Amino acid sequence: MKIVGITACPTGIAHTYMAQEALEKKAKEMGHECHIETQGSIGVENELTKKQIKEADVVILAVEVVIEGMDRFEDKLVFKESIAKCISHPGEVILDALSKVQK
Amino acid sequence: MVIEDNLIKVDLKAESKEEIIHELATLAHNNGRVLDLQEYIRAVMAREEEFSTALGYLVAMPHGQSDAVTSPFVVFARTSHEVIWDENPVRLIFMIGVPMKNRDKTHMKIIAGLSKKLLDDEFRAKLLTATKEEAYDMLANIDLGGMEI
Repeated sequence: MKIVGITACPTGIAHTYMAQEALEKKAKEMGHECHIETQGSIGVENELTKKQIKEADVVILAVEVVIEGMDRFEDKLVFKESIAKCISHPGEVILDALSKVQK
Repeated sequence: MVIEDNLIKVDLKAESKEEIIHELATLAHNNGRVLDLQEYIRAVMAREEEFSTALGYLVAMPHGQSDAVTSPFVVFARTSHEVIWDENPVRLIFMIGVPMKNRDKTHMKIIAGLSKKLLDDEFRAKLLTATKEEAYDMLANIDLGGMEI
């Protein structure tokens, strides 16, 4: 499966990046393709491409502040989760998100 | 520098989250990284109340954004045994200080890079046994990989 997502925590200093790493790492282990954009203290990094968004089966949003570019996901299946859970239990988050995808 | 050898403590004896925060904030203050100690501690505790910064992996990353901070820094401490931080056991504490204004982007990238690196099991395992000098080398030389600087 193909997953994209955005992480953004209230201060954007540390957990935005931890959540990105946790999701990307776990998804890879599980055999999925995953690209996570971060919107934190250093601005937008690893910005999702139109192609990545178009091809994605699901969008994981772990955002606890207002983010830029929500309109990019208008026609997509969006799954929301807390930053804390993405860091502590990334595998569960990925399974939950993928369970929403119509087989 | 964001990370300095005198901001590292590998034999911290503290027994609680409050004690750890107080002790590490004092270390930052004594090294000139925090001007108003009480103000900085308030900022860290306020953040903890909003969102516990211990999320597994034996790691806690308390942070305070405050004008009491002179320039971005990370204090690293390792406790001699596990301390329960809210609900999670921790041994590796990375206490971050960031000023409200005048943030240097490179400094913020180092902190972001470190945060990502903490998901690396091998990196954490090494930190659990490293000497102070080894810990400094590991933390001061984090590979920022794909992050554009």
